[in-house]
Amino acid sequence: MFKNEFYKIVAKKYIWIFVLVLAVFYVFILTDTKDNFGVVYSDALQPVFEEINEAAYTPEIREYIIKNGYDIKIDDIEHFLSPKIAATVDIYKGSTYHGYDVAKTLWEEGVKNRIVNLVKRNVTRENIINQLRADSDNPLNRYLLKQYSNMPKIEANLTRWDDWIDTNKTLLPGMIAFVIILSISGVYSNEYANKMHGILLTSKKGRKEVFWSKFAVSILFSVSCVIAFQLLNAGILTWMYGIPFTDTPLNSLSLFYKMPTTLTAQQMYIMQLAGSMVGAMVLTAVVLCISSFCRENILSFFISCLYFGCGFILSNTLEGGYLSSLITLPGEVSTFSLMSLVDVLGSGKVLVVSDTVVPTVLITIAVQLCIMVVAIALTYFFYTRKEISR
Amino acid sequence: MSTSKGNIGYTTVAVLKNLAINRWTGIILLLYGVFTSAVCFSDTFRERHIEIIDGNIVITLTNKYLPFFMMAAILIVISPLFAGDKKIRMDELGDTCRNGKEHWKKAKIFAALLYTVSGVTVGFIIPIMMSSISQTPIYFKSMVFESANPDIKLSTAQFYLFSFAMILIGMLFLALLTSLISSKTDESLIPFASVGLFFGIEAVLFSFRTPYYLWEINIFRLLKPYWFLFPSNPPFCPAHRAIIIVTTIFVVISCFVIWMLFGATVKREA
Repeated sequence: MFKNEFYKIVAKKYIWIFVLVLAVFYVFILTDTKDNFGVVYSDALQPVFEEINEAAYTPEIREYIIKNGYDIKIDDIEHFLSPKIAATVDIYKGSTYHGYDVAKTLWEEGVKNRIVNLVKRNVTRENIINQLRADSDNPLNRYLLKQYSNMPKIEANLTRWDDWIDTNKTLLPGMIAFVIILSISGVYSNEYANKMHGILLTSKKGRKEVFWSKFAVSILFSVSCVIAFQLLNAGILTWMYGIPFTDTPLNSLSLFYKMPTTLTAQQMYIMQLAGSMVGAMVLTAVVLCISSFCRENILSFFISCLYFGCGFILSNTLEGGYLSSLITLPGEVSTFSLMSLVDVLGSGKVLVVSDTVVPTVLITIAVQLCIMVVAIALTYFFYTRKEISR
Repeated sequence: MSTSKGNIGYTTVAVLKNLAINRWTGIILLLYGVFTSAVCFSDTFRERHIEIIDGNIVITLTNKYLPFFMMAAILIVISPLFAGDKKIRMDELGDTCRNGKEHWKKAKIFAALLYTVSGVTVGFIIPIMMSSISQTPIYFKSMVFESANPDIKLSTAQFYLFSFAMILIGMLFLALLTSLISSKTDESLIPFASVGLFFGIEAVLFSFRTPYYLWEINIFRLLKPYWFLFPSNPPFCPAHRAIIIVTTIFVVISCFVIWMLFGATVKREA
């Protein structure tokens, strides 16, 4: 029965066509930026990553940059820098890229900007800590002070983790959700349309056994879908930027700069993969629930899209900052948010309830698990009730 | 119009009536009405959730939100137009009729087009009406986007007409595309998901602004026509040229879709 139900989902040719179209579109949109200086020379400064970090923490360089209001020339600090940096950049001397002098651009944008940004980020963090110490003592300030003080040392943004995490922010969860909704929305509603629902009552085990096989198969399909799309994503990113050569604190990435998070980029990416998987399971349970009370496939698909789409829109329009409120919460606890995690986990969002500071991601997980349990219970109720008339 | 049976006008009106009384038409219209009222009557809602374009509520509603409501209506109501009949084998009934399937198919396409025209018209009438009732300014005589220095200078009334024409061309294209896919399958979900996916991909390309030519030749250029007023890069500049190129492309594709819709019928009839 399990095999049969799985075959029913994957035998629909149109699903494969949609998956193919989405995959081609995703490859197209992601690789469109391949011919870009930052991408082509993404690993040029990788050998001097440590040296660039050391430079930003060298007191003389730091003082000079701060004294000049972060507006300096690379020649001003060159004598403080490790000779290895100059040697690495010199490899590209004489090379041009679309009219740009590669060595000069690497010096200006690669080395100088990264050192200046690193100094600026450290100063900002220190200012935030000082401000929090000076401010009144309340649970939120205590929490933020703890987070900023325990934050790992910020590093130069050279690892390309930005791109790895950013791809999981909106587009990938949206595509995975579309395929899941398209494939699963007809699981129960098709039975009503084909009048199989009533006929099943005449079988020995009734609908109960079919219910669990359909449920398990749908979950299996969704998990496979997540794995396939995540592998595709990882494949494209590896081809474009390569696998990030080292782990780095999340705060080193431009996406999460100034956010009260102590995570590293690798931890964040792994959590995104887990969130994508769990979110897909929750979405499957909700879509099955919708499918179990809709008599038409198209209606089930539409309502499921609305469910996911509302979370998607709310989460993307109300994001920003690290404080959750009653207005931003509906988007933050959505299934989309769990599949993306950039907003709730990466930004280290918190909700202040009376005198307690609760990380928003915990609320998201709790709400989504509740939705999943309720959805499964409702699906079971709708599908196994002894109603056969249309 | 003659109401004698067998007349194509009679069949078209009958199909159009079916589309108009579809519960989803009512639900979407109601939602659009409620949303429009909230924007026009509630200052708090407007300030919190709406980014007003050029300080004009009607332009904001028609250029930013109407396309999404219309899109939902087209997808839900027009997707089963042919596929629904095929699913229950109702299309075979055409073989037994004097005028065959061609007559029936033409009536359905005309009805879908009329439904779209009516939808867009109502979509424009509602915000103008609500704006008048709520006494939020409509600024008929002033120039649009004056402070942003647009390439094409239009008065607000002219811009409403321009927006109406552009959105109508875009929506007719989507309605025809939905009808075409619906005529090729017996599963209503396929036209719904296909056109929905097309809409989504176009939205992503429009928001990413990359690649550049796919941003220019994008359905959202028609559905959010205020973008047309501003200069683009060659060969899509000046703004007049962009309007001509983009509308021509979509009109030509729409004609091709119509040809495919009718062509398929004639072929099968033969």
